Amino acid sequence: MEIIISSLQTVFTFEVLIAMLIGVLFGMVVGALPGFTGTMGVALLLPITIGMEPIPALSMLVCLYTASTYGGSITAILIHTPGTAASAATADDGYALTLQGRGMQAIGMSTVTSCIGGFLSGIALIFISPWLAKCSLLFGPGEYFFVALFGLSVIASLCTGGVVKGLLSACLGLFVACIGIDTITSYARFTYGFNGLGAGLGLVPTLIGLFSISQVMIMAENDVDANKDGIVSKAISKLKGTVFIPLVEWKNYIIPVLRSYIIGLFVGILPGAGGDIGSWIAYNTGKQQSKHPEEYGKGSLEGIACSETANNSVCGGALVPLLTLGVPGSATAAVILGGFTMHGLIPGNDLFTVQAHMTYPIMIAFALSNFLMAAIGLLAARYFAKVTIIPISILAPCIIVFATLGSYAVQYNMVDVWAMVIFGAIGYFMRKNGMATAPIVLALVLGPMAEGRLLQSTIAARSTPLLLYFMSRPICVVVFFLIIISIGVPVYQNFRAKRKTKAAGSDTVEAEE
Amino acid sequence: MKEEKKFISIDIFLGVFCAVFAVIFLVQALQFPGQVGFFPSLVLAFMLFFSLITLGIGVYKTVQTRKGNADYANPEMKRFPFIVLATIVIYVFCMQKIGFFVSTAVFLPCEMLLFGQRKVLPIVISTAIVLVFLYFVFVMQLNIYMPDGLLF
Repeated sequence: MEIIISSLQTVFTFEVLIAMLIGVLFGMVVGALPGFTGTMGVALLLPITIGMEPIPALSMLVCLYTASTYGGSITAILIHTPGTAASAATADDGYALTLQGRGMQAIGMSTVTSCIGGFLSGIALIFISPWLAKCSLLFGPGEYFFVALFGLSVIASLCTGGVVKGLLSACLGLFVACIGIDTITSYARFTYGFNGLGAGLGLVPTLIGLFSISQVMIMAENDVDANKDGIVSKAISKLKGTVFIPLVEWKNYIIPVLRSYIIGLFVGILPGAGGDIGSWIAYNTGKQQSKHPEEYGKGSLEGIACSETANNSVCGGALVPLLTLGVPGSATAAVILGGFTMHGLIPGNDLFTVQAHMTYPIMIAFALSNFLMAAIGLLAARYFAKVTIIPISILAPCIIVFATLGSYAVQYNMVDVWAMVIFGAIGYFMRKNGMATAPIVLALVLGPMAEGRLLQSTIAARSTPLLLYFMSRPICVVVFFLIIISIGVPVYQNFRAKRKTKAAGSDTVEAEE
Repeated sequence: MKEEKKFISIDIFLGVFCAVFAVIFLVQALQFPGQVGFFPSLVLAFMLFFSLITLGIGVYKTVQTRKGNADYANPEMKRFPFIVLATIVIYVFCMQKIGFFVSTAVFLPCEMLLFGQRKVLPIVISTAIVLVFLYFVFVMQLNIYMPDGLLF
């Protein structure tokens, strides 16, 4: 309790509050812009935090994370264009309400439920994490190795391009993580005498390349102008009424909100699963359990409550495995992990004992930033939608400049800038060919941990074969089966779906004959 | 119909490229002394395995599409993203030679024009705002020194 009170005092200092405000504002803008993601926002802001103290720096990043998830709902509701994938489930109901002249109520519901989901997940983060961190003391190198593999297998299996391409992407990330001087033997791997590669490829430039430069290239080929024909201006001018929903109506939403919060939290804790998955599961569960399922998709406030509570709840959940095990719960959390390591905070039990004075203020800032986000959202959400009026022709070049500068600023090294350009091109090709970039990021973060723990395991196993050593450890066995399930289930589902389509196709042909 | 017969799934190219990539680096990793090459070899072996599966999937897609049993399509590649990439390469190169601020002051308006912005005022204002913001935040507040090259 003492640590929470002292952390509250730290959070309510001018420096941290300003950092939270910047994080929230930037997050809402990034979230509201279609094509921009929280991951890209964190990657762009990461270099700015270099000169800052760890608490305000990391508070800014975690606040950006939750605010960007909420920001995506604003354009989803007003112009049927989700700013982020996590708000896709909100788009149908939100836009239907806008067409009915109840857009302000939809924004009000999205704002309040996002705040509830984010805040409660922050509370869960504060109370679950120290307990899980203690459990992590039971983990040996073998267990950590399998947890890292589990994180990679989950994120790879959830990729839209298929499990195989997801795993291929993860392997590429693990390989890139091997480049540089080996920390144990000082042997240079894949550097070819090039000194700039000695320390390996920087995480931040690689992330900026994969998420920002590739995104600019995607924007260059797609017309993603959200304000085509002045659609945003028209939608904003049509907004009437109040954002506040009468208190009596809230009793209908308490259960869906709490259920979605639990779903979001669980999905967030699961390594690799992001806000989009959490919000869809909560939305579909809400529809199944609702007294008015027919309203879903046609302007249901309950539908918005389900998806928005869940996607912000995912944010807090995703930080739990990140802080305790060093395994990020989502792609954005993977970039945030880069920020933690950059500021010398290494995930694990030490974060909650030795470095507790830094970790707790960051977690509390995350929880409280949801109120800041709600206050700004309720007062000015309609104006945030106006950021989409800025044309891509202005935004894209500015992103390139910020990305270049961000990559350089990490180590004052031009090699990093070239790495950003190369990974921008790689990211573009990957995305064009159905290979997600999220596994590569997670692999870059988890690669060194996986390698280190694997080598420690080989030493610990002594003369016992490595496989037998792993199988003699119960946690390893459990995680191993989870890996099999995480890869096997999507493969089986894909196979079944294809067989069904084939069967349906042959039935149609027979009927035609 | 003629085009369908010519169809080759992009997964074939992807599988072959990744397989060749994995083999080249796997050969090198196997030559590393002691435990140094253990993890990279393991990773590259898995990469080779998944590349071959991707290749197999590509062959399947190609055969099925050519037979007319399925309708797989390759992603359409446009020229503009590559032009953007080329401008980024030129920008980074110029940054090293003539300095960050000068190259950015030239790059931003040119890139905005390239992306189709034709109004002069937004170009001038946004360029000025970005340059002032970067100087104020990075140079004055964070004391980060940009590559200065021959000029500023």
